[in-house]
Amino acid sequence: MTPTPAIPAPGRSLWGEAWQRLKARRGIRFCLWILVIYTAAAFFGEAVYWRSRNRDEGPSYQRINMNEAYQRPSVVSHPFARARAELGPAAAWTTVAGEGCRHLFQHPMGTDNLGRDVLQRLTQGARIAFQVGVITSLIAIPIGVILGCLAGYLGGRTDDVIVWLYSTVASMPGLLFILAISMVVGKGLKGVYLGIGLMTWTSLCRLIRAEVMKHKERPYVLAARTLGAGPVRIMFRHILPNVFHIVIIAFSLRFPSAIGTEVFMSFLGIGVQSEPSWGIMISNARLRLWHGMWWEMTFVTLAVFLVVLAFNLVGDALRDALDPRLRAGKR
Amino acid sequence: MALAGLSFSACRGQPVKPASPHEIVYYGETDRIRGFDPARAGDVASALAISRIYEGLYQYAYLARPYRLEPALAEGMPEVSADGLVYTIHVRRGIYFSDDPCFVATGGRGRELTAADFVYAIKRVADVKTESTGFWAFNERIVGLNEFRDATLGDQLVNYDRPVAGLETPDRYTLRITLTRPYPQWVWILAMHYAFAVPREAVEYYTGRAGREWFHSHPVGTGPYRLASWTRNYRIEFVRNPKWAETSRVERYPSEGESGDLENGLLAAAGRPVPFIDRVVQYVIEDASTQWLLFLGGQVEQSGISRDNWDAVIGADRKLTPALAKRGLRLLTAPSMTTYYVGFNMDDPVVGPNKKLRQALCFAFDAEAWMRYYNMRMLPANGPLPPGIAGARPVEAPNPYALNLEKARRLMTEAGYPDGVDPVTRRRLVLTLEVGSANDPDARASVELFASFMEKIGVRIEPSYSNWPTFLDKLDRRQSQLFRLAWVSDYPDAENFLQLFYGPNSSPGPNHSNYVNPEFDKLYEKVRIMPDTPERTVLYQTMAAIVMEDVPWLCLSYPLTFGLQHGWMKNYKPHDYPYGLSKYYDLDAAARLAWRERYR
Amino acid sequence: MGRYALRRLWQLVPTLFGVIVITFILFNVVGGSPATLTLGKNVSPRMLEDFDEQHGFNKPLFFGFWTGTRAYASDRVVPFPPAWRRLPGASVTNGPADRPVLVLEGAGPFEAPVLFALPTNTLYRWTAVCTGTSGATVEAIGPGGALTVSVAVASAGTVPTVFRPRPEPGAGRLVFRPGNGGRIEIQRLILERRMANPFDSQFIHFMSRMARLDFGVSIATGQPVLEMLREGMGPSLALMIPIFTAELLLAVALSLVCAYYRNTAIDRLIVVVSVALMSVNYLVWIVAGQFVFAHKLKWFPLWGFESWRFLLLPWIIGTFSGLGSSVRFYRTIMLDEMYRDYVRTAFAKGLGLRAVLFKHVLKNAMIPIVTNVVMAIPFLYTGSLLLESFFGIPGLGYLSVNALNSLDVDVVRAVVVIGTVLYILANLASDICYALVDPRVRLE
Repeated sequence: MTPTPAIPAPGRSLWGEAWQRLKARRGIRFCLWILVIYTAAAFFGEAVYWRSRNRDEGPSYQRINMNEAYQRPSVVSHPFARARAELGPAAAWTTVAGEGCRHLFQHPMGTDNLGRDVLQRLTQGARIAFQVGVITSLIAIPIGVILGCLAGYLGGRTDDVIVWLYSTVASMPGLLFILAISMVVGKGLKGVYLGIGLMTWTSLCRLIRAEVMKHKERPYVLAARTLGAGPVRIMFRHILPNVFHIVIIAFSLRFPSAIGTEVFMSFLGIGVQSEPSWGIMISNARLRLWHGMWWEMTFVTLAVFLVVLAFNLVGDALRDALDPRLRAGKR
Repeated sequence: MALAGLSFSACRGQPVKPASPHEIVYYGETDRIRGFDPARAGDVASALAISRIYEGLYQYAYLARPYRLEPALAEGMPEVSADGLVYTIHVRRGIYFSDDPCFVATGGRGRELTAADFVYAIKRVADVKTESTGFWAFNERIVGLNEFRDATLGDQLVNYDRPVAGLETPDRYTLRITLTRPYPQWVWILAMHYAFAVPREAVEYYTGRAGREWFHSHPVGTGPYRLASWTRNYRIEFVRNPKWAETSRVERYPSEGESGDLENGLLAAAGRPVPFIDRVVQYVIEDASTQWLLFLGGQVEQSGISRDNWDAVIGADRKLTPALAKRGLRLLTAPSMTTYYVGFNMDDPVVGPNKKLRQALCFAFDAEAWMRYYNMRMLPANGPLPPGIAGARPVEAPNPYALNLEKARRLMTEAGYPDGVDPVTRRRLVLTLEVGSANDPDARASVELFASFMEKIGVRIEPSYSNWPTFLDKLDRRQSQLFRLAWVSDYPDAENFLQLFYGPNSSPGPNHSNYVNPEFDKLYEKVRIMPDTPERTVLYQTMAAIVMEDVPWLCLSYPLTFGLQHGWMKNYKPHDYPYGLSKYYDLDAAARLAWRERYR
Repeated sequence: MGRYALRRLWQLVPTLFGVIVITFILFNVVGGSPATLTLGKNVSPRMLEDFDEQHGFNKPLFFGFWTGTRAYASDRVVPFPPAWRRLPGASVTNGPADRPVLVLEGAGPFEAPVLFALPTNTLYRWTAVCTGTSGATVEAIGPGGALTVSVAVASAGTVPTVFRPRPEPGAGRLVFRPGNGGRIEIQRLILERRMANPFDSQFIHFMSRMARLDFGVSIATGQPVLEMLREGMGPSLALMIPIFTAELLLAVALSLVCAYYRNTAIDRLIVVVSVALMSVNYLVWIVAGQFVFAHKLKWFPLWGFESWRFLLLPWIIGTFSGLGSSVRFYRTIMLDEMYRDYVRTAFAKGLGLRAVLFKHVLKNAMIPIVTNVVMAIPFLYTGSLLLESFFGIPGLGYLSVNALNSLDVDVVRAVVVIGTVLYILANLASDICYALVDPRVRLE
């Protein structure tokens, strides 16, 4: 699910060119790699989830082991001084090194209050973050694109109704409404998807509508019309491919903000379920922060930061490459 | 307007400046409260706030254990007729409400308390328009009160002069209550805030009209404190009620306690007039970590301990860690009249008809690991009744559902789910556990631990988190399968717990398990009119045993109240029903100042 | 100008209507009655019904002659109230299509259990859908106790009987008689109340309240909602205005720096840093800020709203968390202007970079800046949900979070509606500002 739409279709040099331009920048290449890693983690998380689902057993990231609670992520799990006193200097080195490696391998990022591995839970967090990003996009983007096309192409009454609809939705306090929708819908993440999805399609709809209106009078559309193509065909076969870069940009920009919203909502306890999302992990970790359990907090915040940063940078670059005229809208 | 809420006093660290150097200010934390209307409050935080201002006929004796009542605004304990139906109570003379503009007839000076104030308060609870949370306490218990309630339905104004046959005032200071059937727990009810004296003038004056406040935000009572200010969601401030000094009303600190109170310094203040604290400031802090950090900083005097802080606070021996003990912190432990449980919805087609399944889940519950997770701050539950209540099994008694995985697996097979697998779907049995606190990380972790126990016998627990209102709504609509809940008793009598299994009380009543057992119901109907006798205690035990056999509940634990307080707090003893008892607290302001200087 | 403003105002009406309808649907249709929450833990169905009656929650949502009652509440999840279970001979099993079916066996008679006596001044009607063995009947008994109608039940396996006796005041009684050794299977059984006026609905009630600006009373604190909003506004503004001002000034200054050093390392550095700032989750800003600066270093108070010192940390956190995106936004605006013709002309005239920047670019960039500022005003009002809840600032953001958590519907609705109105008005104001500042924009 990398946002690299890069299927350089023949004849559409815009995409190929954009891809070349993206690849040329070292920073962006790095970001793309980060995204690839996260995507892999998300898929891996998904696989782990479904594996335990199919085998009908408790997933490993939920396995509770009270004896391993609060283990810090350190190589030196075995105190060297004690080992030396007990085993002598030569054996101490190997023991400590061996124990350290074993520990690092088992819980590279330590364990949480119930002895669950932080890294495994982070991976599951990536899975949920990507689900949120993808599913909310699957809700919002079709709504925005279809309504935008209809309004822009058909105009008249349809346009009036759609403009009314999006200006109504856009004028409602967004975050509050997302919270309210998911609260009222309930049922864990489904509410979150719906809330974010239903409230964030308006800006895309507006952009598409404006763009379609411009394209409506272009010669290629007039040609298609004279050839007898119906409005649906014109809209979705002819105009849409020409405005599709807007969708790609919108996707890459809304992805990180959807992740942020999910973190925030889980933290507030809205849309919480038993799966470990990053917001839940932050909320869990915060309670223990004050007496030195820093690792869970640190790694989760780093994970969120990196993926959002990568998405933001790639999104910017993508926009520069695909459509330099579009401004960096304040989100 | 915009900045009206800000007072630009740059007084470092200390939230509020005392009005005078000698004033003793108590800083506390509280949950969000729902106002100061005794009829409407239903939660602990509001009840505590209300009981600083209002008073009832009876109150709990502060130091006495087991719990007993003593007269507060009454002259003595009630005179009960031989058939247990008529209660005659004499109200104390010379008690005045605090001064308030609502007392128009006396020019704003607080008038004397009369028996009619209690009648009015009870009628208010019965009034449909009041939307009281406490009508259950009087419902079908007082002669003529339900007819009064029916008359308040509809749009017309409520006529409070309409007499209620069971609520009479033969003279100014005498209250006579006639019950429809004997109700031995009635005196406990009279100590609850639903029966606190409420002046009619105040209710009729503060209606939110003509620029006046609403009654629930402008309390007028006889109690030790007055409300000074209330910023919703943020802060409540009380000051000493000047009316007590003016009318030379003196209440004294108790001079008798149970053994150990003397050693703990709880009797040092014996016989001295209360309250000791002049001003009480309570912050509404809902976030556990903020509460804890504020407590560590010495900005509030007491704190509960959340599970996550426990390790750092308490050593393995249930004592404070030396680092905190050195700072003069004190740890108080007391059992509490509360039972934590996982309820089974008996209406649910899966768990309801299948007793073996429910029993299997009980046998799979690992009480020992649960205790360890909660760092031994609770006692393992061996029945619905917490220890200390007449009829409860002793704590040492073996738990009939002690962990026994083998038996649990066998029962699962007998229940039709060998290894937890549903033979129809060939998948493992999935049970949904409703949890009513979504944003509490502590609750989430413990639910996951619970799920890991059930995993061992092959049952998958799927937690479903909702916020509190949605959770309650689900219970009321019987849409739950398993649900996690606690019952915090209203008064120390087993009847208050056993009503939770009485058939006619099923949802939306308090019997959220929707447990119906005609045998149990018959016993309950018998026991609820019985006076406190050994036979009744035996019946209580029988009923608890029936419940244990039928398992509408999986009893988790009886919590212990662990409180942590700073060394400067005095006269504090944990109490299950601390309503109105905060007047006995005291603190050493000089010691607090010194502590803050030292540790900031 | 005035006409333009009026016309724009008129255009707001449908939007406002839409918002109100959406909030109504969200909270009333999907939400439900707050009766349980208000009345506490120990209630009877009768008490809930009384509450609903007082507040109109038992009216139809939009329109209708018939509405439900809690005396015999049945829905898809619990189609048969447990009162049935107390009748010996009655049981619930899974019927066709996995729908639960109530089975009555034995001679009976079985009377449909009503949880409390219904008022006799209202009409109620029963609907029963059932099949049974031959000889089984179902009958309705009127309030007087006289038999009104008796019907033989269709035999099992055929089309079920739909039994709907005429409405009776106080519902009357519904009695099932399976007959000796017989059996009746009930697929659906509902009790409905007749509305005297079908337009007397929750929606009409709600609209008329909105029209009177009556936002109701909070169920959590019992306080009128408008008063709560008034009280919450002060702290919210005290928090948000400094944040907003500081962020605006810093962002504009930094974006000017970017424009000045455009396409140099400084510009790129600022951009990268702002993207990084943007990427830090808001939650992390707060948790880390509170932990490090308030708890560890003790520079600031941890929590509370007693004096301006308590606001310092939220101000700083708020400013920095929003700075990244603002800088990016204003930088784009500035750079956009930099490539305009008039700038080229100015340079050509020999003006220095500094003069061009401050005299021309900044002046022209003022238009989008002003628009942006005006549009931000409604957000100042709603405050910051997270900052306020973490730092205990009793503003509107905290209020909203609390209200959502306790399903305090009236409060959330009021915040939403007022927030929308402010947003729309700000939109209008920004259009007008735009027109005033920029003569090229025509108003008609």
